Amino acid sequence: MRTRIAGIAAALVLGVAPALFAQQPTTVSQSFPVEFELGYRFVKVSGNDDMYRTQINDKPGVLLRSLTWASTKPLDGVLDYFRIDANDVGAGPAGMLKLAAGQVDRFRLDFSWRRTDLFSALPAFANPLLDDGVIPGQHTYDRTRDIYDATLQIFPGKTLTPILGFTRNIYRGPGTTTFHVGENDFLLNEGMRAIDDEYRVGLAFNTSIVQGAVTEGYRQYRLRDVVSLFPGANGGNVSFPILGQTVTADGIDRTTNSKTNTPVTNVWITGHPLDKLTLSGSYIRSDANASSDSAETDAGNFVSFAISRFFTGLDDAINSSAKVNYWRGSARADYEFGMGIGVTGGWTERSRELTGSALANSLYIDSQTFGGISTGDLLNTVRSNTSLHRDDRTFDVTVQDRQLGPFAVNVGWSQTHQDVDFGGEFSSLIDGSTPGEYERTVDTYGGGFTFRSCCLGLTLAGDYRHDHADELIFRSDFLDRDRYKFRVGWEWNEMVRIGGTYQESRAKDDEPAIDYRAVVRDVAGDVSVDLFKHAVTIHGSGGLFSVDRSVLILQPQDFTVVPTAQDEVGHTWEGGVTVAWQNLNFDGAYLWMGNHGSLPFSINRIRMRAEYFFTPNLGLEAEWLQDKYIERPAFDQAGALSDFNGNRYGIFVHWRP
Amino acid sequence: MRSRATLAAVALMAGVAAVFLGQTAAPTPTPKPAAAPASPAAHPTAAAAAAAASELPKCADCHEAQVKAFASNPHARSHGPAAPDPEEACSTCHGDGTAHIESSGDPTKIMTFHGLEGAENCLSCHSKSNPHGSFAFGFHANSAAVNCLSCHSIHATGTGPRAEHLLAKDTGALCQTCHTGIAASFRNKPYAHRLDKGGMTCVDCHDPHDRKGQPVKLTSDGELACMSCHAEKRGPFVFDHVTGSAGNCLTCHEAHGSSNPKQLIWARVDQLCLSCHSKSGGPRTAGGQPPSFHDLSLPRYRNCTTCHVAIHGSNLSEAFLK
Repeated sequence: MRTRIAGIAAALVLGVAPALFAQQPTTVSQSFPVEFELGYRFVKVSGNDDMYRTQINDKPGVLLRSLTWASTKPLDGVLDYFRIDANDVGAGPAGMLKLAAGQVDRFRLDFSWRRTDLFSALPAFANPLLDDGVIPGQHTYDRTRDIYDATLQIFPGKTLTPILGFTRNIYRGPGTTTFHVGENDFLLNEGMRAIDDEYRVGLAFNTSIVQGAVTEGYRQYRLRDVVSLFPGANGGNVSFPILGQTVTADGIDRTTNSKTNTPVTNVWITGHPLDKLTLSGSYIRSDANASSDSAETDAGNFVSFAISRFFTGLDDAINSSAKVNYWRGSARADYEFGMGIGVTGGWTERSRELTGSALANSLYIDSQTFGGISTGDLLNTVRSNTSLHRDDRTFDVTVQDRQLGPFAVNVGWSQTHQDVDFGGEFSSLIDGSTPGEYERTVDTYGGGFTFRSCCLGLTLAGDYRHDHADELIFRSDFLDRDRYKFRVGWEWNEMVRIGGTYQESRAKDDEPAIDYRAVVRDVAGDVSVDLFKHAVTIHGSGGLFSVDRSVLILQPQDFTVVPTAQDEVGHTWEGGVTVAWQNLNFDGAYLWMGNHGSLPFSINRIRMRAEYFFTPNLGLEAEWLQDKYIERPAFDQAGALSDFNGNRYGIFVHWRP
Repeated sequence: MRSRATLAAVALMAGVAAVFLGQTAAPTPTPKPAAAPASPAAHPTAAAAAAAASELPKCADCHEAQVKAFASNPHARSHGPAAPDPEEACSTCHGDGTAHIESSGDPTKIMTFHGLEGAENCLSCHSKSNPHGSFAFGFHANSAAVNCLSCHSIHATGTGPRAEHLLAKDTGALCQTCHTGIAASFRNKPYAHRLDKGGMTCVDCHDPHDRKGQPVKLTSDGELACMSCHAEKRGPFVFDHVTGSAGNCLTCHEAHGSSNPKQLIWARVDQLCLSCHSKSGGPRTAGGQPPSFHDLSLPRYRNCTTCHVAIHGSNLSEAFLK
């Protein structure tokens, strides 16, 4: 290990040496506007590697930790400016690159690329076999998401600015999932690829009286999802016979293709008919048309209570379509009386109307009655139609004074009316549900203040909101909710900074048969002390959080009503020191977190980074990151099977202008 | 073998970077004077400053670093494609500096941008008010406690290329200055978005200049910002679930970091699902009761999504089985 690190360091230094010589004629005042950190990261994990990857997912390899290149004169006559920013490109789990370039008054191009490696293989999640010591659970994935975005503005900031844009979001990779068929659940391999493209063309306008933009977009979504029986998973999750039949699968194969086309119109406008009055409005409309087809072939020994048969195979074809008409509109007026006093009021409404239908043709192969009489192949055709209409309408008004001496205060009221209408066959969506129309109105009152005293270096802020609803739509909705936020900050002589926040939310429904309650608290504080003219900074922070959430449920198996409980009682403590002394930079921190609740665990994190600049421009960094996760036994959790200790060691070259 | 290949790759990258630097790090030409200085009519105080400039010390005599760095400052673009005359550039924002110079640099005798009053100077150009954002009525409403310089550093970061939008710090570090608890949740809790790792920052979901009551950005389709990445959850689905009906992503998930897998608001999936899908009495609510064969005493039924895999919506199964 040591020799490898030494080798990497030597390679980096040797590689950069030519740059040093090339830079010698350059003076500090003629700085080259590039900054980057490039190096290599080693990873060593003990314990549950899957859990490490689920939570951390830093990988070994070459890593461009940061790059910034900003110039004002890159290409005479072509570009007046450009700027490139990149972070964490290379050895995952997430990286990005951004480019902004253009000619002043003529065009501006923004491009970005973001990659995220997404991994999940949790020991206890979707794991009916946890009691047998089988990990991870049955729902895992190891996927990558790439998002590309490009926007071109022509004549930016001028009276008329044409805009062209394109966004591509690609999500792909393998995974595992589960399929419930024939009264058993089988582990499947899954491969999926989803591409979401959006094309945009728009026109922004900017006059002294009116500003706004009209954008027409077109979104194309394509999904291909292929699943097949996981090797060795023929027995499924149910090991006992059902009606004397052992349910097994010899093969399960399904391919699903989906596509959605969505034209989108987005308009906003702001006008200033009077000096102190601003009127603004927006309108968004999208009409999504989705279609999907799925072909599935299953073979094995299965049971179906729906058709009261045993069967040895299933050919299933489903064609479906769904359409959503969505619009969202808003109108708002801002009036400033002067001296920081102002009032704003607005209306926002959105409407979503879904209609969907699915036609499923299921051919049950070689079926038998439960009595053992052969009934041959049975074709079962089911058409489902669904509809859903949801409206949300909000009115709000806020009055504020931003210049009440060192204070700024505001009070406001808003009312949101929600109207949801489940139609069609949504009743079969969830057995025993009560479809129909639901309405709910929530009134919110509240106010807040900020205070700043430059002399005392003190900042205070507080905010309170009370929500009252007249009805429930979900059982987890509140009828009354109070939300508090407080913040204090104090700074002394640019040396000492102390800050703290407190947040609390209390929700309840006052319905004895449901008894929903949720209390969430979070208090946090931090302090930093700068010493020796900012050469040394000592910082620390701590926090406590708690969640107490419960609701009565009716247990399906015995119809008894019992309370549920989600408890979290946790703490976070952090401490560290930053040193910037001559050519040396050092940053070290220790973080400790614990949670004693429904899922008890503790996490210890170490962050160390040392950097030495051999020249004003060139430095070498060494880094050590450690994350130790320890999970304690709890209901349906994996306990020690989840534990890991992940260490990353990195060495980087740092070039700065 | 792999380590040797890695060494070679690193050395190659470093070498390429070195060659690249060697080629492009030639001394930058001195910026030319502005071909067309800012219009005195637009900034009357600039004319006075220019007139006095021949007799008085220049801004750069005392503020050398700020003047030299201004060429790479985005504000330089407001002077057009040519690099601005540094003296003209200063007076554009700071006004006539004669009194300031004559008083040997009295900071009270020049226009600054500190505090609420100073922020009003910024807003003389950067007035933003639309249906989504407003400096005057935003949740970071321009006040003595929170104003432009609370987050932006006009000159200090101009000396290097690191700060986008002239932010005083990287976005995450900046937001956590005040939002201590949320920042700690992202840093410490085991299941969280990878904030500040690979570019995802607070402003991907939040616009700091947004209005009160509108704390989350909307996509161009008018949806929550979640959909800008998680596009496959958008639908529409024939068999819709929470997001499309009466809730949204935050009905089940905690965006700012969670102690629970999948950033759920409950540690136990069955309790999360049954908080809506239960009929213990009380008023009529949406969401039904699972059939009685769902025996919660068995592990197979405690984790509902083991079978109900398409929980964000499905085109194939009414019960979200595929």
